[in-house]
Amino acid sequence: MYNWSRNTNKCGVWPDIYRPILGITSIRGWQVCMETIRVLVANEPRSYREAFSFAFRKLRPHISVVTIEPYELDGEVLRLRPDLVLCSELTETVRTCSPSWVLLYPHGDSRAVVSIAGSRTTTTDIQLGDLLSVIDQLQYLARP
Amino acid sequence: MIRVLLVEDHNSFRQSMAFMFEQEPDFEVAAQAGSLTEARGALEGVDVAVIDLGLPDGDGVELVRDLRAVNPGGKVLILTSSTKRHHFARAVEAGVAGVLNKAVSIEEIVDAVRRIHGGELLLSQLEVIEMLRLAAGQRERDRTAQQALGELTPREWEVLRLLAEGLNDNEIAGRLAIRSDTARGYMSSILNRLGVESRLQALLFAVKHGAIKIEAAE
Repeated sequence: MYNWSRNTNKCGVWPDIYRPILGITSIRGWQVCMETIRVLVANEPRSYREAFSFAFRKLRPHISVVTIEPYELDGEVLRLRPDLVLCSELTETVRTCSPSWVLLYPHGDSRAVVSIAGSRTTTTDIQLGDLLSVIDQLQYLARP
Repeated sequence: MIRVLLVEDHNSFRQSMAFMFEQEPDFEVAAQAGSLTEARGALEGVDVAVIDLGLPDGDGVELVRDLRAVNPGGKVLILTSSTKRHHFARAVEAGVAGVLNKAVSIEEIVDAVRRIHGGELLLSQLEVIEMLRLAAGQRERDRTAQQALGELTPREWEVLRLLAEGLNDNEIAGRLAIRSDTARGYMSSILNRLGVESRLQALLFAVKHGAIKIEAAE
């Protein structure tokens, strides 16, 4: 199964040659996601990322949730090409290679920054429901 | 059924923890709160309160006494992201049943609540004694520091506040309409009273002991 949505130059390009072969002529067609979205959970501290991962797996069983240590973040973003990254530190790799991300409680702050396809909002009171909404939005955007 | 109160101002984490506890057959989340004020209204019937140490309106250990007043058998597990031992020590001194750093796994937190409810202490007797000694030592250091700060004259306080604004001796002198060597004299006296060796140390001392707050830059 292929995910056509991962198409940034820095992180890996689906060559244009494939588009006519597969009969995909529109950008929307190019962005068809034929598999579930993938969420990479890499925020600190450990209890937080495990609690979020648990909740996501139970409440959104159709998505793929990968929990990693923060030090593995850049490597796993490049390897897995997640649709969404949860992190406590925004690296250049996440900023440029992940279509959407949530910066959660950096340095223990109460603040969170949500970026969905480049559109950013900052909040000081993010709820679990907000995180699930982000996932739902991405699932909606990825629909055929 | 173990009735749990969760007190944590990071809402998304608290809600995720609540969801996790609710999946366990032997737990019921009695209430959730994002502050001391909210928590005080939710202590009734709580077996174990899982409380963040740093809450927006105060120290989580303050709830220990409040919980005991409502439910003498109620126990407290403190969660903290701090690695400072004197924070742990203060919590132990307040009578909490356990202190965990948030770097532990979520399973450890759930397990700790079960153990605490079952009457176990998460710390050994030796660890408790060590924590109590640490807390006593910290209290003594705080008392000495407050005493030193109390000995500063009103003028010396003015100089210290202007130092916190980033002014040097000449600028302080200008602001207070005094001579530069007079300002330096005040500074020397401040360093002496606080038992520090530099302006930076004096500032850190005052900030650490709550005498001065450094405002965030705009």
